[in-house]
Amino acid sequence: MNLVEQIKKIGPDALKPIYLGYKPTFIKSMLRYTKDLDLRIDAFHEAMVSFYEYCLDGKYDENKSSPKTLIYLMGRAYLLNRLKKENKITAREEDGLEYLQKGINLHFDITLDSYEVQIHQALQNLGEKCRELIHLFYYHNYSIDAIMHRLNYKNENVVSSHKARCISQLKQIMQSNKNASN
Amino acid sequence: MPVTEQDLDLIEKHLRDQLQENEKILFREKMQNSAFQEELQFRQKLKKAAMHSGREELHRKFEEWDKVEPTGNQTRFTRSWLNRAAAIILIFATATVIFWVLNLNTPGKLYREFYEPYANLLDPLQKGSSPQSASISQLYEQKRYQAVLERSPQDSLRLFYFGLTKLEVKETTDAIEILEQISKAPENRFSQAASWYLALAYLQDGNKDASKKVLNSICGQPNHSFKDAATELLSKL
Repeated sequence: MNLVEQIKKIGPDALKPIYLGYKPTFIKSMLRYTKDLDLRIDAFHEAMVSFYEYCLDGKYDENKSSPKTLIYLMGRAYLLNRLKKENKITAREEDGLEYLQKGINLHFDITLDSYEVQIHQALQNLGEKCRELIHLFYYHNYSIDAIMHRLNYKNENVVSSHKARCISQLKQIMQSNKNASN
Repeated sequence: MPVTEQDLDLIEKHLRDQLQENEKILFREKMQNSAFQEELQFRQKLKKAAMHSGREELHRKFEEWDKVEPTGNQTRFTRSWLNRAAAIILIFATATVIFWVLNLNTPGKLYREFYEPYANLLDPLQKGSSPQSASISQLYEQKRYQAVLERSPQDSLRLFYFGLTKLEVKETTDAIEILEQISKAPENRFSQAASWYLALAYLQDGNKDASKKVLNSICGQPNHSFKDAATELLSKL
């Protein structure tokens, strides 16, 4: 089973061997840009998130690049971008943009508008099972069929109706949060 | 008009870019319905909020992976067990101190700690690419050092990789000569990297003083790419 198939089956846990195997090398290689260990770890985490989402989007082709190469490019891009913003590095404009040559789009920072913030807060107040279902569907891009197998539902109809109830609950929580703040 | 199950199905397919052609036409018609638009907007924002929340969970998962796994069940301590444990720790600590003293930041040790091959960002290797058409940086990346050395160093790029390869194959005197030449030419795009590898080459050669001199020079340049690494290495020399 290749990496993308493993990710579809077991989610981000499929990345654990790559994470543990590659982290020390990455952290060491970023020493050339900054001594700040926390920042280098941050860059590695952001790279792993970006790589995971790249796989979820179905864009990763293991015949073209190794995970190491892509994670290195993504992490380096994040780190250089961050150091440039904090004026801690003088680098050329094109430094850290090698990932563009591979047709990769990176979105490190997601800024939520006020309505999205409300949804996000309501998500945290949902029951664990509902939140997991919503994450699987809307973030990890699982199909209803895949959710059925992953969470051991009886059939697809049960998944669909549970999802509908979870979204309804989410809206109710948003409404009561709104009423509470008025 | 309230949204139906079929409407929700259309919306979810749209969000996943999975609409068939006939469904796209139906979707455009449904967009005339304000309740449909509202639900679409809600689900778009839900998707974005779920992405934010999902990423937070991923970060927490990574932090868990970073932690040391707790060991199994605790055993009951007895006095003799403690004595045995203390004896083992003492022997281990003594051995560690002896080992540490013997290996205290020797040039070779520092070289091994700080050296890593130069990352090929110019034209990273693609899987399936032909070995015959490999560039000098790709040959270096593949560790085909003999092939690198067979290419004559006609330009600054080739000369730099020539120098790096000399360092890899431990022809240190040649490596020092080449890297020193490049490091003294600030207009050369590899001069900063060359000065870092020159410092490492001196360590490989056992020459701490010469290495320190180069590292001090690097640290004296505020915008040097290897300033932080040089500072770290200098602190151990």
